[in-house]
Amino acid sequence: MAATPPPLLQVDHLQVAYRTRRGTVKAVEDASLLLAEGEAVGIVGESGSGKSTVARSLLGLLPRDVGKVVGGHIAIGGRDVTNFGEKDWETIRGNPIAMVFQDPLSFLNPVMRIGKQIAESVKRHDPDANVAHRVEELLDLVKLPASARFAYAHQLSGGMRQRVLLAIALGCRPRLLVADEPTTALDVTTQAEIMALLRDLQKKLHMGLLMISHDLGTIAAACERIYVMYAGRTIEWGPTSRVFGSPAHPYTTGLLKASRADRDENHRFVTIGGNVPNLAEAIVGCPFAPRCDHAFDKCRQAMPDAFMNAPDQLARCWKLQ
Amino acid sequence: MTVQAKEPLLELINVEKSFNRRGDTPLRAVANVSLSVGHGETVALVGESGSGKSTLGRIALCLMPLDKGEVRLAGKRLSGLSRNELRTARLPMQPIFQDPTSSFNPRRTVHQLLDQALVGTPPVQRVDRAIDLLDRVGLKGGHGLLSRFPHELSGGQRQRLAIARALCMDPKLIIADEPLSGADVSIRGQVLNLLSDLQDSSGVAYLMITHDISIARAFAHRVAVMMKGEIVETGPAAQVLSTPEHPYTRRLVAAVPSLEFDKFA
Repeated sequence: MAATPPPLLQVDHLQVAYRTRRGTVKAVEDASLLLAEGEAVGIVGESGSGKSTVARSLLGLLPRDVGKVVGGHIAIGGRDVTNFGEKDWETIRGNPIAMVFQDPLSFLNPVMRIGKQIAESVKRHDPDANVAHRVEELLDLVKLPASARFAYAHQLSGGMRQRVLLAIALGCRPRLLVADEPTTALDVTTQAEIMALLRDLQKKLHMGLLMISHDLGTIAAACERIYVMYAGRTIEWGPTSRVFGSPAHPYTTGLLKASRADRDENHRFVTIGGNVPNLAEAIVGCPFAPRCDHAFDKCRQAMPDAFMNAPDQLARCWKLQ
Repeated sequence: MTVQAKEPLLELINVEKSFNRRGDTPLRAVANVSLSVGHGETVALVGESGSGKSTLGRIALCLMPLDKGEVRLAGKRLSGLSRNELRTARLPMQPIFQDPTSSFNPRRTVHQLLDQALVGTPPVQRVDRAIDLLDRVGLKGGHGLLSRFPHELSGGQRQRLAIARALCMDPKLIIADEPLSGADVSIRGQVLNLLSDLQDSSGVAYLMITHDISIARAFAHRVAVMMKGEIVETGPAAQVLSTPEHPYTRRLVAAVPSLEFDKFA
């Protein structure tokens, strides 16, 4: 029997802490996720849920001396990267794992032509390639005209800059692309174009895509499976159609209704009462319990395990036990 | 049923505004636009960035001189007034901005921020009035809150404070520029409910500038869609944003990813 290949990305019970002046903040308390070769997976959560921290720890990009993985494991292509040093990270950044960010402008060199910036990534990861040819190929891949290589970042629109960032990332031939809020700063129509492009490229290049967003719609449009994060924990995951069609966790339900600007039976806009918990304080039980209409005693005493709601759909909620 | 403003509160009549660009032709940010907001009505102004919707909001607030056209508030012409005349004439109209943090002086306490805005209230009554306003926007904890600084409040609380400050002048119209885009999804509903409640109790009208189609559809009575400085479509929000006529509105609506999924048994 052939051994099954290891998943492209496996995160197990990840914990990340930030040192702040007011003490340690556990931004990620318990996050686990799996991503298979060529799969598009999304992480949704509100600000402070820990989704970007998870993304950054996958490339060793946590702020130095401030953020630190303090528990759990990260494996990329079966290789444990949890205890990597800066030198080790440099061997995997770009290939097999690359990242694009929300604000392309701050990642592009303002005084270097776009073509040269793409060429840098090509030279580094494809030393034998015909650089000029490969740059043209990459521009074509992200649907930018070949003439864009002569432009400077400030001459391009927000959508075009995001395409440039994508071309630089793809120049490394990554097997896994991490996209942290790649369309948040863009207009809806541009957003739709970039999402379509991302999905298209992910399929064409059979590349893994981990997309992080606070916008449920964006994630729904691009990802086959999703993870919902709350207060540093992955609390529900499964196929997108399942999780958004029949959410199992009360938080996911609330988030969906609030995103659609749904109204309740009293014609009020649906809200999730209360506030996100303060992560500087220890949380006992389910972190969502204080805001949850279904909470009972057990919820306030212990963090629930993952229970199955449907095949492949799990949620950490005692209601499902 | 069309929701038409019976007696317009705010009228923008053929307003036009261009910005000069160095070495280029002037940019027509707002081109011959007419728009009205009725008493107690909510009008959403939607469009992409660069469509001119924020400029139109600033024109309505008389924060910039016009090239052409006029702004009227409750029948009174605001364009062409002197700075002093304008200061009192536009009091019934108050703004709320996208980023509540940058619209507050960080060195002033909640009390000072509200006190400053309560110019119409006798000084002895201002503290009570401030607490009353905080209460109305759902910021409980009265006195304790007054001594806080804006940075000590959460994002949702700051947006409530911005609304409280706008209410200091008993406005007839609140012009809100992207009031929710900084807010997390879970507190968006709270702010929308608060704005609805204030409208029910005081009859305040809203001109809400937003790029979020789902909010415009759910919250506004009427919507105006802007593209390249012009209003290309206007009408009842539910109708325009469900069955859009103009190709641009159609494109805009189609670009919003759907969150409708079939329920599993």
